[in-house]
Amino acid sequence: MKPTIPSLLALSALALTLLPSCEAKKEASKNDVTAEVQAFYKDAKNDKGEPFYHFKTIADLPTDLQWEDGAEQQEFGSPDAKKGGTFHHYIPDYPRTLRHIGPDANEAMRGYVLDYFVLTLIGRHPNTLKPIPALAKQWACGADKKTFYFRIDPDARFSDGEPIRAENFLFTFFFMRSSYHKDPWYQEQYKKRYDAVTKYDDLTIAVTVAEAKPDALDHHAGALAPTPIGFMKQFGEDYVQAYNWKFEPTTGAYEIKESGLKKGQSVTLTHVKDWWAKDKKFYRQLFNPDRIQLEVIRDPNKVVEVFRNGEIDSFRLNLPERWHKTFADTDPLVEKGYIHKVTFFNQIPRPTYGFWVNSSRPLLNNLDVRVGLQFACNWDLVIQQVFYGDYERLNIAEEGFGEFTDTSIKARPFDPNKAAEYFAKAGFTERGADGILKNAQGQRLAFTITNSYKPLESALVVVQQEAKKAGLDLSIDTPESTAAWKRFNEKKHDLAFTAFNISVEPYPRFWEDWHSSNAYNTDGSVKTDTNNFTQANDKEVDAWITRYDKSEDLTEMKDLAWKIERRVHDNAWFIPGFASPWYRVGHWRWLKFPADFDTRTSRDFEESWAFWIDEDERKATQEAMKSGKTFEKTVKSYEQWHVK
Amino acid sequence: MFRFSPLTIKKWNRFRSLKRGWWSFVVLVTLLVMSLFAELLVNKRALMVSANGHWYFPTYTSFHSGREFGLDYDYEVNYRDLQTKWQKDSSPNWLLMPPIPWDAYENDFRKDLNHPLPPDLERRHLLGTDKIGRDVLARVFYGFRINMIFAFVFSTGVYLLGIIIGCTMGYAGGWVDLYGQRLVEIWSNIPFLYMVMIGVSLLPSNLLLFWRVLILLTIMTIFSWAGLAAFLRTATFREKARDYVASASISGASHLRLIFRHVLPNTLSTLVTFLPFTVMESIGSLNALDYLSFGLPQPTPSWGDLLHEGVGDLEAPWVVLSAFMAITLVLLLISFVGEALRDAYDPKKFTTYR
Repeated sequence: MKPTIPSLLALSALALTLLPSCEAKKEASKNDVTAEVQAFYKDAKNDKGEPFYHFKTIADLPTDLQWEDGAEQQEFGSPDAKKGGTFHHYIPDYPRTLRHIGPDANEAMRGYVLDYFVLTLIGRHPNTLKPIPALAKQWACGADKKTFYFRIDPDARFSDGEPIRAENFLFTFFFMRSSYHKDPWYQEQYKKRYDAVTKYDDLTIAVTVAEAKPDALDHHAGALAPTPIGFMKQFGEDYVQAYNWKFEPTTGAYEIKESGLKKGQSVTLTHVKDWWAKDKKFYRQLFNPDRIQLEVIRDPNKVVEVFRNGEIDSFRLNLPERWHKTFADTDPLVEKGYIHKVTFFNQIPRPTYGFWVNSSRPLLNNLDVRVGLQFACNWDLVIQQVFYGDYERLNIAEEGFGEFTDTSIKARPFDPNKAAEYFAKAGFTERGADGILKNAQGQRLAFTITNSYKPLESALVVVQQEAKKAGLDLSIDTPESTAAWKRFNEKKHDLAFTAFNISVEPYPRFWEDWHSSNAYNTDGSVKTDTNNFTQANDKEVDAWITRYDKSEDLTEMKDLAWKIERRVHDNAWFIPGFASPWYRVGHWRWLKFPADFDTRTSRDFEESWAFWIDEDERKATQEAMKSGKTFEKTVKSYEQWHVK
Repeated sequence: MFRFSPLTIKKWNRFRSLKRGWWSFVVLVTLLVMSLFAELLVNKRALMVSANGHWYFPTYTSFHSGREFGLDYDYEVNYRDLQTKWQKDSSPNWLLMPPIPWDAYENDFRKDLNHPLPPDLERRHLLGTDKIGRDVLARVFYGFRINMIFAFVFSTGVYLLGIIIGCTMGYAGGWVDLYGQRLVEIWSNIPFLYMVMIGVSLLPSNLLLFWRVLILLTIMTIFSWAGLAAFLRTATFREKARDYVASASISGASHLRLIFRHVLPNTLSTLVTFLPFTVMESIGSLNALDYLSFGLPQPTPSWGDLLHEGVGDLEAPWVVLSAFMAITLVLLLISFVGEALRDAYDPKKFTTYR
């Protein structure tokens, strides 16, 4: 008999129903990982070849430790927060896994599975960037400034009830350094960053990091998360498949239950019942909604409509046209006070949009040409006209690092006369028939911008047209973004238009961008595959960076940072572009926020989770919309963290 | 003296009698001629300037800086502002701007207004501006010229390849024809647009603009000759079997003479009727590629690019409508011409079996 299409369909449907049961059987027969873990505890070495795990008794704990508990820090939620309700939001695609590690884990869902909620040993206060207690209620720094001691909160437990003990942290290293999760980056980082872990008793551990740096506590030692051992019992070669749809019990406030998954449609997170930290300082006012409902909406234009209907509670208005056009202040929903618009100024390291000038190229190796270029780029006009005057001019590459940023450095403004002056110093005095400068050899002053952001091409066209006024010919080349990055890494660009996204860190890193060892090999050839896109090469800067990286003294580091920033500005390696000093959001009026809206380092209100849902207001608003009742129009700007 | 054959004149008259096609042809040629002199019609440079007893005709000459006209900058003088200034100062100097005083690249930025802005007669943005303040009409007009130049080079390439390959297959016959046809079948089944996209994205992109466009043209050409070759093969095949070819052959005519003197001229109807469709294909593909941003590099004026921008911002309908109307209109005109040509060359008109 020839298979017909219906019969094939029936067969495949049958196969599909049978598949899960096969998988279940396979799992049940799996060996448990305990023996392997014990062997690892015995034999594991760090990068320096020393034993990694140490087991001591509480009597071995140094006695001169100064324990801290972050009690002096202020809470950042709101005492008015109402508990309960459902927060409605969207995800651009259905997640392909619930794992927080391994293939496909680094997608839109990751925030909800990991970053937003999971508590680690210690937290960091989003306003002061000082440590606050989380899973550890107390911590102390050892004499070597590399070992940190933690007293684990005895109340801490996972969402499945398993209490959190020292063992869970030891297991994390086994887990992360294993190859089963198929994520080599983590495997390497956990080996490179940590030198040792010591268990003193069930509630006391010490973590030794590889380098003594000011952020060693909150970025490395304190950023450790425990792993639920019971759940990971069957951890093995098939982890990626076997654990793909299992939600790992969490230390955080929200979990995903099996009933919360509607394949292809939505994911619902529910508040952990009797969450262990629900009455703890710093946490009692956060994570207020009972449920977080994430609808899958793939089309960005549909998200707008869904938000207009009130089916999702908030919508990001970071794009100028979204703020000014899609949800203009005159929009009826805004006008009548149903939807509130908020601009929140934050203080975070800004993505470094601008031109990275390759100083190893002919002409660009001339300082006068580079300074001329700075004056020839009209970013202010781009900001005014293309970005609706909403963004600000970026002044240096290391912006938003608080006192590590020298705010007295200002990017050079557009000035065709000054540009011409510097170009003249470099020998470009005559204008050709097309208005472009030439030197005595007849060489035209022309460079190519390699652009890695297709959507921003029109901004570059404006820069290009304006540069003609300074007698400079810029052509724009927009290859596919991976191809663009390849060219940057091979240092084959003239001007690279790109940005480095910098995570919230207490102090900037200079070595990657500005140290000459990332520009040239020892034999003088161009070094490829580094972030030094400008081929910066200044021996004095090198020396400062080396000292900065070794320094453990914050004042000295600050002085060095300012020196490096000033010199980078003087050398005109980087032409700063633009930065947005805020995030913007539109939200329905039943979504409530603390009085000062959000915290200093939030890039989005979903990073601090201090908001709450007022379900009564939701009903009242919906009724008001029917009856035509209006509320006060609210378009607000919170500028308490604005650096001017 | 050269004279058209009576047959050609007959076809020409027949073509003229087909009103729709003929008028489309007239409009198209007018547009083409206008676009060749686009700089005189749509340009930011003045047509003529009379300043301090000197005459300037800046359209096709090298640039004049602001300083030459007593302004305080070294870059190209803004003739529109200069005109306003002179009028305000009631200066004896004067200048004449083209009807559309914008070029395709200039950004007309204005304080507190954000582009795209709707049509504005006062500033002579007859079709409004795009999102970075460029005149839409200027971009459409220069885009037309680029499309036409592109179509001209593209058609030449396609015809060269198509004639050589098609003629060879039809004339040689035998295994050349057999294998040639299979090759054409396979070749014409390769998805052309994808191939161009792959080809363009593989280009080392620090190439000069000229080379990039040339390579784009080459890739497009080598994936577009198959249709013409197939038709030409049939036409050659048919002509070759005719008695006059046989008699020429017996009289001792060489193969080359046979092809160029006897066979090819008689396939003219195929060649001519195919032309409008080749041009349409060129316009269609170039703008599709521009739309997908695999075509001409920025900031070259292009309909596809304009269409792409317009579709993304439907709140500014003048952008998308201008691009859409331009494409539709030109393709429609060409297809009318093509239709009329086909009818004019239709041998049925002359057959005795009627």
